[in-house]
This record gives sequence, structure tokens and C-alpha cells, in this order.
Amino acid sequence: MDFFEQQDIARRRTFRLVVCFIMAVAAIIICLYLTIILIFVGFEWRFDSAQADSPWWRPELFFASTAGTLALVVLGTAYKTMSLASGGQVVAENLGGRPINRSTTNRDERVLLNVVDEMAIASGVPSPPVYLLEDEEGINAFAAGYEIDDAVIGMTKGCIGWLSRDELQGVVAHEFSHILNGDMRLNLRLMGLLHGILLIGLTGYWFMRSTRGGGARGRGAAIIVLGLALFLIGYIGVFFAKLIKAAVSRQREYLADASAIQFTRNPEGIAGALRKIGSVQSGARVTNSQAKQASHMFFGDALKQSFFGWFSTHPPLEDRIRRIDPAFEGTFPKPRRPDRSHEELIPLSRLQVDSTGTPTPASDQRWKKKVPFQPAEALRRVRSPLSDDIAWARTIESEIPSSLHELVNEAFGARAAIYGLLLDQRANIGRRQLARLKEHADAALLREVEKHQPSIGALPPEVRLPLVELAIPALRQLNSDQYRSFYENMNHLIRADRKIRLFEFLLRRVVQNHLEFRKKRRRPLRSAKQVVAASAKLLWALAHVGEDINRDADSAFKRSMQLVFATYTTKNSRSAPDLPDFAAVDDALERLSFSSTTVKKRVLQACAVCIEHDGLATVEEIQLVRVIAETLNCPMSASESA
Amino acid sequence: MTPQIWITVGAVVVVVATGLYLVSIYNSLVQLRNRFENGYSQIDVQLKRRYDLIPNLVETAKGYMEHERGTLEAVVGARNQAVSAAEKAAASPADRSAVQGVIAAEAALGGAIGRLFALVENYPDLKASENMLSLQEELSSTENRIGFARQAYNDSVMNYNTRRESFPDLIVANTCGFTEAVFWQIDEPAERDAPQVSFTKGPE
Repeated sequence: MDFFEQQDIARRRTFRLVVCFIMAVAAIIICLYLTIILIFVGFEWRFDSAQADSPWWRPELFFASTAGTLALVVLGTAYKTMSLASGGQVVAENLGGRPINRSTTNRDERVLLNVVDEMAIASGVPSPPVYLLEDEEGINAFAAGYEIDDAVIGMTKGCIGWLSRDELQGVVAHEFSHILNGDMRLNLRLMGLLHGILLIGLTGYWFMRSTRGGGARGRGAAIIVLGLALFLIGYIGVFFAKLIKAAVSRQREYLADASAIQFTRNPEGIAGALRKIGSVQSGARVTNSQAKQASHMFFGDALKQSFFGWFSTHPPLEDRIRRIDPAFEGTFPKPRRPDRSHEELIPLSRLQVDSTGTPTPASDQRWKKKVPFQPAEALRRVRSPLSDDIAWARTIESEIPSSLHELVNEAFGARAAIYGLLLDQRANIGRRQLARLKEHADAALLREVEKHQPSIGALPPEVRLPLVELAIPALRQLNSDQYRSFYENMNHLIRADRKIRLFEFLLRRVVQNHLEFRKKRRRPLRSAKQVVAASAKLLWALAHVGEDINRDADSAFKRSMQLVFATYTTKNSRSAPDLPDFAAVDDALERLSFSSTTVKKRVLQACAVCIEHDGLATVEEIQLVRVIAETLNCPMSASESA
Repeated sequence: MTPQIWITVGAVVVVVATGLYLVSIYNSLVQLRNRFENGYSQIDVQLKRRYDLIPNLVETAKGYMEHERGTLEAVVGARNQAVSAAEKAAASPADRSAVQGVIAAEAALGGAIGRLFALVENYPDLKASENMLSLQEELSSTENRIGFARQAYNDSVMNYNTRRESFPDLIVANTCGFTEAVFWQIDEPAERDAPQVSFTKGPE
């Protein structure tokens, strides 16, 4: 089949259907106007027949009824949009999803994450977080979220259990098409309009009720007739709007199937997955009570078919398969589970080896992996002070006691470790911090903090940040409420002495970089000029972290600034405070993260120049540059560079 | 107003409009070039992912395949060549010969890995070991990623080249030094078949 042609067809049909939908709204307005005119003509004829030369055209009535209808529709849309437009994460959690940890060793989960990453490359969409619906035995998947940035992908347990790698690829590609084509947004808009039309019917119902039993004859009767008309128009409108919406949804499914083939160039994958849905007993069923609300975003029909399929959000399975494989006969063979004899797999980080070719133990890689691609190139300039990184990381890992390794392996202990790292050595501040935890954290968590406090407190400074990074995978398992409360506690501990120290800054950034989804709404800042102030703040801090003597710091700062902005002169330099202000650095990083990759690269090069100014890079400096690079790193994809 | 003034105004408008048009052509060419260069860097990321996996693969296989030294050494050699070729090309993605160097080195590496995996079939213990299974999954995923990244890269190269060769864009392209970009193609059929890494697909 020609997938591009299929996509065009589906897009054209969607467009036509959306036009239908808008025409339906226009028809509602006209019906409404005619009803009102009829009522007026009817009642005026009875009371005041001498008036009006042409009773059929009354602009003021027309505008009033148009405005009224539109106001109701807009109101309904706004209400529904607000209640539905929660980010993808929330939707996934409501459906009973659990985020899959990036360093999972479960075979099925590893394969799924790999497949998602592959499809991210194929479709040019950044790789979204993946959720697993563990209680669902049916074969289904969904994409949720209304922007590409907050989209997530969810898979049922049945899906990863039954499907082969190729089939999984097809399903994931299908979901990526929904994300790429903005189907969730389209659906949300249609649902909003639907709700607006429903509101017309509800208003009519309310009119009829409010005058029931009222004594006034003429006016009361008119209102009842008007109410009845509104009620009928509203509900008939909803009926047709639902039909159209379901038809749109079905076209988007065809589009997504065709796009899945475009991304994978393998029609067998998605066809096989659809066939398995037909042959497995639990089909595509999703049992969660929220599934009805989200039925349009699933891969297969999550609910039972109804009304000859007029209202179903998905085309019949046989039709979908036949579009991909015209030779399909409509029979489903008995399904076989793929061979998964081995349950565990080793995560990538422990399989990769540094580029010099010497295999290194797992732990060192975690450190190395933190240097993302582009910054790595920037940092190549400072190869000499950094070349010992690996060896250095290896010794550091061994300095963390095994009890702490174990502690940060699960979400509970990981939180305790972070709190513990933030406890101040000064007695009065430490007391205040513990009081805060007593109030806002779990009692058992507090006990854990107190138990491990001695060993955490005894950690040498250079292994403290590595411990934070070790805790990240476990922290990923927090749900959004838990994370929010954890983040607030962490912030309070940091602010307890009303100052942000370097370590506290780094800790918070590392946590945010790994656990928060950053918005990229703004257009990238393409010119370095737009980030002069932000870069100055950043480099100023960097210069003062590393250089002991102020004079050195000044020249490091100037030299690195000139690398970013050739025209930067001392004239522009302001009399900055002696100590770096990390709150300002945070702001600066946020602004810099909006800049284009080219600008970021230059700023990172400047950072490298800045720290090697005195010929030596300290642990602090390297840690800071790493964290900066990590914060600025945003993987570019073909669609983003457009 | 005399006719001369009208003619002058008209001429100025034409010149300005032409200028703006040329500028917009230039800008869109730049955009397309950036897109395919970015596409190349995406491939590069995935190639590196593979380079980093291979030493572990060799290390794992070494314990079981004492007699296959030659094959293992060939893999290591091919990898090292590919690494240096990729470094050269990453510096200048628009350089045809550098890119072709990487393509050739990659094909050789794919072939070497393919031969190694064919041999692994003879060692059931090695094939069933956790390390090997994990490496297989990651390597076949990497293979897919490279494929998809290549697909995206070729698409962007095609867009760029088409634009560069069509009129009137080619005038701007030729005067401003927009050189032709190379497709990532594997020419010899033998090499195209070689990187068969995935025998994770069971008796599906």
C-alpha cells in the first residue's frame, strides 16, 4: 500500500469532517433563529398584528441568537477544555499507569523503552516518558498530552506481553503519529464544541423547567416553546456532532496506521499487532474506569462496539487490517506469545564502554553518561584536565559506603538520602531543618534520615553529588504528588539558612534536570546577543567558583565572555558581587536553555575556557560545568530545527 | 507627479522585492542545510552508541570463543577504524569524502559484527548468557536507530538537494557555495545484508 496516499486521504477526510462540524454549528444557529422568529411571529400575530413590514428578517434577533449560541458553545468549550486538558502524565496516572524507570532491568520494559527511542528518531519527535498499565491484560496503548512537550505514551501489560518487537514498534509508531499530528488537541477541541452544543440543550431544558406551573399565559407559553425548541436543537445537534466526532476519530486512526508504516517501513509490524488484538481473548479491552473518558486516545477500541460502530472512536479491526494488508481474509489465527525465556536484561549504561576501548565497570559509566553529546564536543577543548574523569569517577564510587548504595536504590531511601545531604552541620540550622521534616515528611522517612545521617555527614564533598545521581532512578518512581511534596521539602531545607550554596544549587539542578519536564514553548533565541546578560551571570559564577584570587577570576571571566561575544569589552563589565549568586545562575540557565544549539555550544565552550583558565579544573568546577551542560542539553530533532 | 518619478518608484520597488526574494531563498537554503547537518549528527549519536557497546561484546565473547580470535580482532579493528572515520566526518558533515569514508567503515563494521553473531550461534552457553542477550537487544535497537536516523538524514538531504538544484534557487546556491549533500547509501548488496544482528526474534 502507498502510505503517503493513505495519509493524504485521511487528512482530506478529517478536513471535510471538521468543515461538517462547523457547518453543523452554523445550522444550529440558523435553526435557533428561525424558531425564535416563529415564536415571535406567532405571538405577535396574536397580540399586535399591525406591526412589522417583513416579519422574517430581524437583524437584532439574528445577532442576538447568533451571539447567544456562540456564547454557549464557547462557554461549554472552555469548561470542557479546562477539565480535560491536564498534561499527559496526569492522564496516564489516572488510567493506572506507572512510569517505567529508564534503567530498568526487566526485559519487556527495556525492549519497550528501546522501541520508543527508535520511533522517536524515526518520527523526529523527542522521546516521551513511557507508562505501563500493569493491571490491563488487553492489548492496547495510548498517547496522551496536548503538546508535544508534555506527551506521554502508555502501554498495557498485555501489549508488551503478547507483541513481538516488530509489532511493538508498529504500535508505538502509531502513537507517535497521534503525537506528531496533534490528534489529542483536535479531539479536545471537538469534545469542547460538543459540550457547547450540549449546553444549548441543557439551557432549553432549564427554560422548560423554570416556567413549569407558572401562571402567566402568553409569555410563559412562549418561553416553554422556546425551551422545547432549544432542547430539541441541542440534543439533535449533539447526536450529529457525536457522529461527526467519531468519524473524525476513525480517520485519525487510519492516518496513524499509515504513518506507523511510514515510520517503521514495515507494514507487517502494525498489521500483526492488530491481528493479535483480534485473536487474543481480552482483545483491546481496558478495564480501568477512566478508560471511557480516554477511549479516543487508545490504539485499539478500549470499549465494546456500539450502534453498528457509528459512535465508535476506532474503525473496525478488519477494516484497519485490510487497509494495510488487502489480502487479509478476516480470520484470526491462534496467537502465540513471543519467546521471552530470559526475564532480566542489563541496562545500557552498564553495557557501554568508554570510547578508548577499555571495558569499565558499570558504576563509572553513570558518571560518564552525564556528559551529553554536544557539550562533550565543547569540553574536548579542555581534554587535559578532564581526561582522568573516568578513573576519578571510579575511585569516587568506591568511596560511597555500600549501605548508602542500597539506601538510594528505592524511592523511600532515596528521598531520605537527599534530605540527609541537605542537613546543615551548624546545630541551629540543622534543628530548624529537622523540625520542618517532622512536620511535612513521613515519620518513617525522618527515622531513616536520622539513622543514616552519620554516614551521609561523613561523606567527602566530591562524592556527594554522585550520590544524588545514584538516587535519581529511584526518585523517578515518585508520582507527581509525592514529587511535589518532596520538592517542597527539599527547597525548604535548601533555604533554611537563607542562602543557596554551590552544592545545594547543584543538587537541586540535578534533581530538576532528571525529574522535571522542561517546557520549550518559546522560540529559540538564535542570537548570542540575546543572552549576553545571562551568560555573564553564569560565567561570573563559574569564574568565582574556581579561581581563588579575585584578579584571576576577573580575567577568566573576561576571557570566556569574549569567546561568546567577540565584541565584549571591559566597558560592559559591571561591578558584580564578590560571591556568585546561584539564584541568578538559575534564572540565567533558564534563559540560556531557550537559546539555539549553536549559542549553547558557544556558551559551553566559554565555560570550558573559564574553568581551565588557571590550567587546573577542580572537582567543583567540573561538577558545575557538567550540571550546566546537562541543564542546557536539549536533544534536537528534525522537526524542531524547522 | 511626472512619469519619471513613477518609473523610479517602480524600479526601486522591483529591486527591493527581488532583493528580499533572494534573501528569503538564501535563508531557506541555510535552514535546509542546518537540518541535514543536524540529521547527520543524529546518526553520529547512534553510531557512537554502537561503538561504545562493541568492546563489551568482544569482552563477553572472548571468554567463550577462544578459537575465534581472528573474528574478534576483526571486529575491534573495524570498530576503531569506524571511530576515527566518524570523528573526521563529524567535523565537516558537508565534506563528501569524509562522509563516504564513514559509510564504508560502517559497512565493514556491520559485516564484522554480522560474522561474529553468526559464530555465536555455535556457542549455546554464550548465546543464553544475560550479558549476550542484553547486548543483542541493545545492538539490534542501535541498528534500528541508525536505520531510522539514516532515513531521516536522507530525507533532509533530498529536500536540500532538490531545493539547491531547482530554479531560481540554484543561482543563490551556486554563488553562495551551497555544495551538494551526500546520501547515506550502502551500495554493495553484500554489505547491505551483512549487519544482521537480530536473532532475538525467537520462533515468533
